[in-house]
Amino acid sequence: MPPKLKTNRSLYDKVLGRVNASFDAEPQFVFRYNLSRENEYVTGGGGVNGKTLHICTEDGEIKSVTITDMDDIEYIQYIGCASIEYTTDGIRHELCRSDMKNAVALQNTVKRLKAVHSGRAFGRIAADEDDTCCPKCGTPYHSGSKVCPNCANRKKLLNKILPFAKPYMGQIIFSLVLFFAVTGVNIYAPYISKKIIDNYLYVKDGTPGPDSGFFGLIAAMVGIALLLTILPMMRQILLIRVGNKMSVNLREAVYRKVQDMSLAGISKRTAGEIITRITQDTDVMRDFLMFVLPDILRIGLTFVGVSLIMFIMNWKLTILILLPIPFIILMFYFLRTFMHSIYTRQWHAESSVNSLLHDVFSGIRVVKVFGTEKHESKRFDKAAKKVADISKKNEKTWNMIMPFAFFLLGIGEYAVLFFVGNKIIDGTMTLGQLVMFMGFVSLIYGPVRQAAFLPRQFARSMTSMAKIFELLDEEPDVANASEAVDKEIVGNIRFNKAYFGYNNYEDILKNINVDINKGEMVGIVGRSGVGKSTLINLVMRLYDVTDGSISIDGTDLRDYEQHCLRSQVGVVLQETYLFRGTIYSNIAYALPGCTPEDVIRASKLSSAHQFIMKLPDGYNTLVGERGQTLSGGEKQRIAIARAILRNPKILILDEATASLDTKTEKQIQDALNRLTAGRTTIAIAHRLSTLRNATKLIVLEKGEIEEIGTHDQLIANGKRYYKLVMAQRQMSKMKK
Amino acid sequence: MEKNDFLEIVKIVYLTPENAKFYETDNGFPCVNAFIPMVKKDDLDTSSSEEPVWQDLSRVFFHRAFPYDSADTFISVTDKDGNEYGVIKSLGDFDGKGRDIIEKELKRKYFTPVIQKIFSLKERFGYSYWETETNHGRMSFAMHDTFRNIAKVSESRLVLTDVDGNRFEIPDVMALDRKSFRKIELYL
Repeated sequence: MPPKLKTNRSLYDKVLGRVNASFDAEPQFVFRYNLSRENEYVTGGGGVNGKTLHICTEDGEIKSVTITDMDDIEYIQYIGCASIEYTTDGIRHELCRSDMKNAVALQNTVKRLKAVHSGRAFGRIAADEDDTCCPKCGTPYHSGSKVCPNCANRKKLLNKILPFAKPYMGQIIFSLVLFFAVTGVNIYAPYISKKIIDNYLYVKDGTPGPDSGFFGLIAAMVGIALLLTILPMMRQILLIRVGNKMSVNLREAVYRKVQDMSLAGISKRTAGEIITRITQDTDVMRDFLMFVLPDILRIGLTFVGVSLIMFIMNWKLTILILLPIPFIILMFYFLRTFMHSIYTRQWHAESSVNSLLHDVFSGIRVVKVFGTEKHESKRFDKAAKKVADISKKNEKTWNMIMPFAFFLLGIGEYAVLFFVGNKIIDGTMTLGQLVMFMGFVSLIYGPVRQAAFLPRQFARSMTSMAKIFELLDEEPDVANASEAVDKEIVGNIRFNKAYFGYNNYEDILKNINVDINKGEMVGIVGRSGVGKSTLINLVMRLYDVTDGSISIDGTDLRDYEQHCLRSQVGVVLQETYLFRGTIYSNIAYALPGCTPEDVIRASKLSSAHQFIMKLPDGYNTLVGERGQTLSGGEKQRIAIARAILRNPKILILDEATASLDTKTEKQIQDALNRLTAGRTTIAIAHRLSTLRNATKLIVLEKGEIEEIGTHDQLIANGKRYYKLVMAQRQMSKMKK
Repeated sequence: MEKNDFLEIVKIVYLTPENAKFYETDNGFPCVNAFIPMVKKDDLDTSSSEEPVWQDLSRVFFHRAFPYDSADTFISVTDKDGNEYGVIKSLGDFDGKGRDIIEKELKRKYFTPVIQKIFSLKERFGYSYWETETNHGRMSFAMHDTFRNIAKVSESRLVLTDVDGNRFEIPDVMALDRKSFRKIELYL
């Protein structure tokens, strides 16, 4: 279990308690901060109710600010700390400051303060909403997750896995039976040895038993050996089958869930995190089902069974045998931790040699050009020598420690030998009993080494399980409305006071009001990062607006059935992603079930047919990773073919021709012109000449619409658009 | 070494006590009055005059060019968006009030507690948990991908970044007490 981190929770609770008490009603949201203006640690908190903000430290006065008087509220990121600043009556103030622990909370606070400032309403927000670590134990959440690996309710988690186990209940129960059988047989074996010895091989007094019994016992031994070979094999095959199936089902469930999530939900996490959950976490789950759980069962059953039998036979001896076990488990635990630490060092050293090699050979041209070969080989020598030193030391340690560890493992046998040996000399116990107890000892001591690590593996599995189910339980945030509309789109788009921000404290788009009518071609102009692509992402409803609304044909985007909406919107992006597969499958991707004729027509329309037919394999040419490399213009034409095939009512072009040379651009422009006729088109372009056909131009600046109108109107305005056009004309003159 | 003609093409605007008068607002934000070429307020402004004039740049921000190697030289003075007004070649050029203002703001911008002692260091599932004594008192924090998040800025100097993005510094790892060193040694 991870060690607890100090959270100072009670101190903060006290401060927030003061803030809460200073309001008449419970505040809408609260936040914590922990640095003074001079970067000394304090315990601070604040809260907002209505338009009033109260803020204080543990012993300072409560400061009250009216939020509507706060202008330019900003989150300022420093290095290792952050602050919130605002302006009132032209004077800049710092509201509070914190180290990075509360950075996310401060960002959200700024967003909320801004919302209050601009009169936008939102509900009460839970106090733990912004936490990046578990409030109970201070354990940091894994990125993109909100379950504490420490405090996750294990029982609840195991309950959640049950539905996945249900289809395989029969097999699971059968393997459980096998478990009991194997354990029983295992325990029975030493008892037979005892009988053979005492009744036949070393008979003290009286005559040996009948011959037939002897053969029976030998046969039983053989039978047991056979059973012990077959039963565990069956059990393991069964478990592997069930484990694999369950993990595949789990994987599918996670994958489906990710596909269903909105882009906002997905972008909360990096692609890597999602891949980790689909592959690694489900793998850990499979290992849990296939190895950890069976091990726990096996070791537990054997231990309990053997101890019980031994206890009934001779309780004194049993205690003597069991006594050293906790110490041996502890010893192996520490030994493993120790070995892990020394080998980690070796591993780090080795990987640094590898990365050094990778670095040098990737940059071999630079090394050659600057003539630094000698310097590089010195660097390598040094790193290689370090690895050699560490590995020498580690091998020495390993070979010195392990023999002792194994010696200690044998300690139980010596205890039995001593105790039972004495009894044999006394005549109270037999040789057969000695052999039997020796057998029991090896049954118990065998798995001791593994037992030391079961708790750790168990905890690890629980963490993965918690992460998987967190994702599975997540509610989609771009949800279909309860009565989603599914209708043919005409193409009238209206932005009504639309606001949007990806991250929490900054609106990327502010107060966007614009009407786009059917058949219009609208150009969006502005510098990079101004929100152009965001605007079109909103039209495709990859994200939902944070405030205001966007409607198509008078129906709010959020009321459309998502699939219905997206199937009628076509997109051509600057960077076209081609999936692994043929050109044909890449174009047909847009419209499953289309005919080859459709695809060829679409390609002809997008001027792609010509170059495709020049490829040796035509439409069957493999593209994407490992496939044929296509040029930017060729990919672009495939993308346009894709868009055409869909026959979209609304067409979105995001820098569709930006990375092309003039001739290709002309070709693609022509293809696009054919496509845009009669359709509502929204186009983004840096090269303003591409937008000459636009019926309306929108100039974005700092997330707001700065200018709107036709080309002529905007030129006449003489503002930003005019200056941009002039600047570009000069550039093109220079090129000539 | 002969003079590098190449580099002469670019001129760095240095801020010195002679051409830069730092002052503070009532709320303690650093501002400067500087004698430098006219600062363009708009990216569409096409005027280009190299003639220095006195101008009040109001609020400024500082950014160290060599935060590890040489924290007090080459400090960039910028506007809110990081556009550079000029460079302070060495903090030592300034004294008195100007220097106080710059130092105070640098202290406010760069918050890096210095680790003096490591009480405990445990690793679980890719996260390491630290209990330390720093110049800001006892602090506990967690790190992810620990080996990678300990930057060796020189042979003995370390900068640690925790899961939240906080930075901690160990100026000389060899100078740590033996027990502390043994704990961190694994990651070196």
